[in-house]
Amino acid sequence: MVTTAVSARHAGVRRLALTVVAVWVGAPLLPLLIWSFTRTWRYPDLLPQAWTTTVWSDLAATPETVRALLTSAVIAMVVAAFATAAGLAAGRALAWYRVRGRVLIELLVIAPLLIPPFASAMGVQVVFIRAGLADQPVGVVLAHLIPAVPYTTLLLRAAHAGLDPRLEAQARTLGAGPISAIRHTTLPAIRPAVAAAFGFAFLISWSEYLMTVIIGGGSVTTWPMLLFASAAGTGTTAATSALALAGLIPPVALLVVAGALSRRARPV
Amino acid sequence: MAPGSAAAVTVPAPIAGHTSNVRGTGRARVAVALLTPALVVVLGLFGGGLALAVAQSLGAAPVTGDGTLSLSSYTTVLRDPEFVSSVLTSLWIAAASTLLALALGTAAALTLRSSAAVSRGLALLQAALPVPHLVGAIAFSLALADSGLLSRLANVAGLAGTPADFPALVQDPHALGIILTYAWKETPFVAVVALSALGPRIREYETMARTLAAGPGARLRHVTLPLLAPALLAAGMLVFAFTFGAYEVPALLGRSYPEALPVLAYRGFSAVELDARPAGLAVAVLISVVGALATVGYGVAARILATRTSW
Repeated sequence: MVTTAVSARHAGVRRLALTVVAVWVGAPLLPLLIWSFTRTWRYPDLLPQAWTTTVWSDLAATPETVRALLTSAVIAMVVAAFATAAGLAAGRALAWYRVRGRVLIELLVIAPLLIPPFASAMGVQVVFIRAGLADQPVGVVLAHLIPAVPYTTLLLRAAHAGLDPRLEAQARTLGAGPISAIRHTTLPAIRPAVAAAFGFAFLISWSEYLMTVIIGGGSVTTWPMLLFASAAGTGTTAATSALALAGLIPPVALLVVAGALSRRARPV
Repeated sequence: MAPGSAAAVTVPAPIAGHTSNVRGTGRARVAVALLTPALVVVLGLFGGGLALAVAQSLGAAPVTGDGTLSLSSYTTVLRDPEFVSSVLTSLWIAAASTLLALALGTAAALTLRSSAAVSRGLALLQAALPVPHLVGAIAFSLALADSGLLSRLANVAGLAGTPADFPALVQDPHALGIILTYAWKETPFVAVVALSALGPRIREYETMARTLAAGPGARLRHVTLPLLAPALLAAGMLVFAFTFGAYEVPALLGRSYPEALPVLAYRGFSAVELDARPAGLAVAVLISVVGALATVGYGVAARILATRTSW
């Protein structure tokens, strides 16, 4: 009797806690969703007077929007690929090797997370202009690597630190070459972390606004630049809302894929 | 705070014996080679960029080679009353957002743990991480504007007759819209960090305290929170540094005077008048100094975390 009452109360608390978290996460995004289907929505009504789907069809039919989303996707994929590779190498070195000046190197890696990287983008801009990298996607990729590489390095250092390097050594003893040993022992074991690092690096690049503006000038138009301009006044509330939500789709899709890959990871 | 930064706070200590395992003459060179790509980015692009920012804020012209060095942009900036109000605005935004996120995030983590809803709670919290700050700022401007959703709810509840009756929460004098946006965005981050720090080790100490007849309040105050403190300190440092130096949210939801420091820095940097540029860079450098102090503080917090986990 007593235990049922306690567990019923327990289930109630759990449901309440989860509901609060769900509302916290979802509620602020709800106005975006409603606005993106709104034709007219006058104060003080709680729901629009007239609904429409033309905001979304207009969005899909605007070449500028489609181009910006594609530009963002290509830049973010390149940033994620390079940052994951650099993070794999550096994470392995920091976790498994004797590194001279480790404390200093680790502080250097953390620094771009605490010092806003836009200051370095402002500093490097003149050099990029001279080198022909400014106003180019390549220059924007280089700028986005500054916040992305620290994340991938920290994530993949943690992944290597939780793994015994002797496993790879055993594979070598059994005749595997260095690359094949990594591919068949270490990589499968840290695959969830590799997927997460790739996803986060993609997300960092996908969300970056200020450094893209500083390095890309007006020439490289990414999704956050269109969105910021729209929110700052060029777009209607409905168009801004739809554009904001459209930009959530690629990173969420990627994180779902990364999560599925992580779950499929098998212990070695 | 960008997602994934949880990793920065929850890095486990290397398994003992690993480093002593890997020896050999060529290994040092391999380590350097492995670190090179990351160091090119962190030292070359980031460090080099910062050095160039400092040089240009002092009046140097790195590409053409001319320009004379002086501290004049710093004296101009530091004497400007707008700069002083901007510093106070940014400190207020960062401090209030950080404290709110820490309090709410810790409370959420402890509640989810005690109600045995960790995995589903974690999944919900992680769903908030990929939302860019720019989207958060737009969402909150729609919710908080004087004719926004909250204002309409206030009207339905009979609390406000017209949009003008609703308190200003966007572009308001106390930066409440900015702080609410950050608190919304950073609370799940703090909660995720706290949940991953609330491992079985803390559970053991709590059980031990319970057998020593410590009540729930005493356990929380003397066992759980002190053991959680290093992780929370590190998370708080990341949130403070981020909210102090981020541009999008105050640019969209802030007032035009006084502006948050990053907004002031970018306006100077991008101004048409060329002499505003060194001043903008000087502001950016001063923000970086605060970030550098946070980096040192983070290093200290990480040290404490490392000694605690070696218990």
